[in-house]
Amino acid sequence: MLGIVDEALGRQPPSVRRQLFLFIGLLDWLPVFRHGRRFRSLDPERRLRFLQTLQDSRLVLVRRGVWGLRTLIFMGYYARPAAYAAIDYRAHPDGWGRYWGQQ
Amino acid sequence: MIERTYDIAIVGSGAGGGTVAAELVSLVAAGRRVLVLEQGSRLDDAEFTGREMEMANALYEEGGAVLTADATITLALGRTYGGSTSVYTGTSLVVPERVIRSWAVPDFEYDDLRRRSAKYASQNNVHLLPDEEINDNNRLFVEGCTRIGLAAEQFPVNVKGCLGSSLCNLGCPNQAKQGTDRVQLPAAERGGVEVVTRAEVRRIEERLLVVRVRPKPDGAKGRPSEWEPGEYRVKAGIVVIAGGSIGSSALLLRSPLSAGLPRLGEGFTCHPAHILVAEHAREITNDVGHPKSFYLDRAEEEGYVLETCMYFPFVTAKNLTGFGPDHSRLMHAFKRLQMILVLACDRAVAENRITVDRQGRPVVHYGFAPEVITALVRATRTSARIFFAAGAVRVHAPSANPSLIEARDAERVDELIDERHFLPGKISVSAAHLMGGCGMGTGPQNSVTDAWGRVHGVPWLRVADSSLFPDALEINPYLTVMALADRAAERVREDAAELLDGWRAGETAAAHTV
Repeated sequence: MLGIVDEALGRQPPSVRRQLFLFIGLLDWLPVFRHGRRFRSLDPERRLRFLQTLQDSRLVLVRRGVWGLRTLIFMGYYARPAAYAAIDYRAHPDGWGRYWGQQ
Repeated sequence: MIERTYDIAIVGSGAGGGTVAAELVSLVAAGRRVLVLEQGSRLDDAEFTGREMEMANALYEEGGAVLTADATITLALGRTYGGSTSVYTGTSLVVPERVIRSWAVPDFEYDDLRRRSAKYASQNNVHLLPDEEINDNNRLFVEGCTRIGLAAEQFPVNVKGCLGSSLCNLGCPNQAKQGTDRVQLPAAERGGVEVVTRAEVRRIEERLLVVRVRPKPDGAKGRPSEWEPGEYRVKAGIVVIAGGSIGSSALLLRSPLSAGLPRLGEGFTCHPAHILVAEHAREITNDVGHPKSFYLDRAEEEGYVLETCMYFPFVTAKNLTGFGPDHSRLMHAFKRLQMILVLACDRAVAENRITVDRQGRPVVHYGFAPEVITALVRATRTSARIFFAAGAVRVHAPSANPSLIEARDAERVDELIDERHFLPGKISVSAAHLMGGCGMGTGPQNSVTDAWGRVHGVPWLRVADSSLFPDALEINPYLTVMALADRAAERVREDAAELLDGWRAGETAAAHTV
């Protein structure tokens, strides 16, 4: 997973990598103002609610940051062959032939 | 710096450049030298694996996700032998007459465009897929449309021997799609046109291209370039630019002659689009079979088009808003997902344009006009109705909050899906129909070229791609691009003697003087 993310980040200019690093830092510290704890110390439910709040932020900059981060994470997770198997993704070069062969 | 001389150089090998190349074979037979320069690489058939990231990185600019200046849209540009024709779904429609009339470009007749579109539909084996090759994802779309009183239409597609891999957007692994990589470019090469890949044109000077040929990176797909890596100066008596809306505009913008073209880069449109997903209670065929067989054209009435689609795991995951269990549950329902792509028919406006940064790299400025947001939200409501009419148990609509709408709320889609929930930056909006930047018109005050792609004031320079569109096309653009390229090539053939004979004599004399 990290290899895929590393490769994708490697193609981005240094300024984008810097922005992402800053955004992750911001994401970790922002919950302190509401929950008194950093993001890494929140339970999963609070993490989820916090991310959803940021995703619907009034500030396009924050929404973009969340979008960029989740895009990278989903790329790392769902581009793996193991994830293909986990979700039963069936697309294959042999198309209908393979599909009917498995029915 | 290595020097080469050709009579005609074509920049780009997609729907525009590939078509021009094939149409100039008769000039090669008459002794002219024709060159195609393609920035991407040429892959062997066995390298088309259909694997998502691997193919996206091999066939698209920046893996298919070039960001606009404010990072609210990702743009998909093919960068390979055959350009975007190697990565589209093969949909081949003739543009409606009303669109061409609305462009109001003198000397640009609809009948001429229709005739040329028919020529390429025939050349590329465009036809309707038989009923037995239509998968459930497409059938459900037709059924849903019918049940709510709308008439879905079938896409004519340019395939030959389609096995139904559903992997069209990752380059057909069975070579079934009849793009320029399979039809026009091989014909051009058989006819003596030279194609050089991994060749980036940095700028254009007076009948001269400054070109950088890149080495093949370690482990990358594709063959090495046909030329040795290095810096080249390619002299050409006629230059045809066909690098796509962004590529052609940026190339001209970083070239000295842009000073005489005040409208260069303007009029960018892209049919901004996003994916909608619905979950059914039963397994359906969605990731097997041709993915884009039907559409619903509401462009004239409501400013949008709906198309069937089926995307790959990462693209699907990216397009679903939210996180955690809801997101994961929908992804694990992959075999039960129906998908629709909604596209807005945007208009050319002054703010949306292409520029270049200090390094000469393209920058695309694009903001969502209120009409575009209205169209996308309307399209989402209609899609939700189609999904529920087709039997979906829940619909994911990114312009609703929460995004998941259950079947029990099917009657409330107008209320739940609303413009106030359309948040740029949150919704994954993408665009693959990139148009404008070198628009056609009557003179430099309103355009970059005339109706035949001739750049104003520069008789040896032509444009032959979607950058010529003065406004959005409102349908999938490939057949129209080929028709425009056919027109540009016709003028090149007619003008060749006048433009080349004197230039050739001058070049020969200069070489002898040196």
